[in-house]
Amino acid sequence: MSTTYDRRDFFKTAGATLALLLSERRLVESSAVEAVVVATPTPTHKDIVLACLNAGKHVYCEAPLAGSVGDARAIAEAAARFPKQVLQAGLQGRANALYRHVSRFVKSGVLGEVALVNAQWSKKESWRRAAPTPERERELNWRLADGSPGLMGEIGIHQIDLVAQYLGAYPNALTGFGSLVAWRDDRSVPDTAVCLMDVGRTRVNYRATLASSFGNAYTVFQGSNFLQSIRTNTPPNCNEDLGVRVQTVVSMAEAAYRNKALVRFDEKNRKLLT
Amino acid sequence: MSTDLLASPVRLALDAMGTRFELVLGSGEAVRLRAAGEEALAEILRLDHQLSTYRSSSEVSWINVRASQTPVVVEAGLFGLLECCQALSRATEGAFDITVGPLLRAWGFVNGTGRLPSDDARRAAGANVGWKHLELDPDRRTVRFGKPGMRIDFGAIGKGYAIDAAIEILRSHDIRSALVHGGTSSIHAIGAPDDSDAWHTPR
Repeated sequence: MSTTYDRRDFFKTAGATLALLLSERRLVESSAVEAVVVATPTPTHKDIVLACLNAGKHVYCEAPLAGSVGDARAIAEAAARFPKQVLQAGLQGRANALYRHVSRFVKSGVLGEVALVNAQWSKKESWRRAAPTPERERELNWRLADGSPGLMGEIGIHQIDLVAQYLGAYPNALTGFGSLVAWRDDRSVPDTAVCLMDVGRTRVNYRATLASSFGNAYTVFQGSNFLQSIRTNTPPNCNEDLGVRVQTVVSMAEAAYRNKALVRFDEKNRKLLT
Repeated sequence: MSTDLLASPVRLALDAMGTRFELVLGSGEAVRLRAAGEEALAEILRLDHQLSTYRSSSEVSWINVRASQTPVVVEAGLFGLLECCQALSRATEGAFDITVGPLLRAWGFVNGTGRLPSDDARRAAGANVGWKHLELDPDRRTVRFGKPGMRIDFGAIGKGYAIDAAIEILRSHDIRSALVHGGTSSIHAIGAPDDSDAWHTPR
């Protein structure tokens, strides 16, 4: 007896018709499509999002918005040219109702002044996807290749954005280290990363690793009166400006890792200073 | 047993469904085997989150809360499992029955080690049990309970279903040698390990 099913059946039940459009060009050209969810490899986001916006479609784009701050800004500028279309950056802390609920609690001031944020994401897994052919495997494993936003871009961005959302501020300065500890196959992206951030008077300590699951994932806000801990096991409204701003933090982390140095953010000129 | 993450055989484990799932992938390139194994374990975890009656956020918990009042639309895979369970109930004339939820509670098997219920409690629970009161509508893909206190529980089939789903993922990646078990009571194997003609399980 089979319990398998075709996922396309789901859409039939939901009353929707489903067509397989096997290229983004056909998707963009289709007049029947009103909105697009972009869940492609990060470095490809910009071209696809711009094409969709230019074709008059609403866009929900997975985080990170793009592979670089320049690309993210290009997306934000395009979105500003089409004010009637919605562009949303898929940051979990902005979309998840639980996070938004806790946000009200934190912003009530009950914690006092937030002194420390301790956040981590720990999961022992290879981050590699299996595929039927070597070519397909290379395509699927873009997260492990040069140009990947790495742990800070693909995972850390959600927790850093949560910190920014709750504290109402972004890091002025940041330093960090990355290392390849457990998964020394042919990848170039670190499997372990640490970041120290200066957010107003709050000091933020973030770390992510694929080498150990110990402690799982959490974000702890230690205030002078109280602390608030948010634990997450599973992944779950953000405008384009927020999407760009948090992208800057990822770029700062990348610059800190590459230059082995402290990176500051020049708020006035919106530039990284190393 | 190798502790090298990049050597085969690849061994992976997961705590889910109140037990420990383990997976051994025999022959091939370790990096590729592990990627397939991690996908298989992720599917088991997804099913745990969907089927568990211990998680108030699971789809099955939602069904148990709602289906007495109104038909509930269920995910396609879960609907297939419900149909499969109904067919098993029919074939076994009710010996297998996922609607035993109320009796499991009365006998203290939920979050406990069991207790003797009073005659009244047993009768009351029993009145809300019976696979024939589980109404499935394949066209709308809905489930509805014919009795107000009904509850479904996949405790008897969930682990095996999860293992089948994991095996299906491994096969889709052309894995020729694998063994998956959940708490050693449910086991599914493909092929044989590199150094033997068969998988050997403890007697």
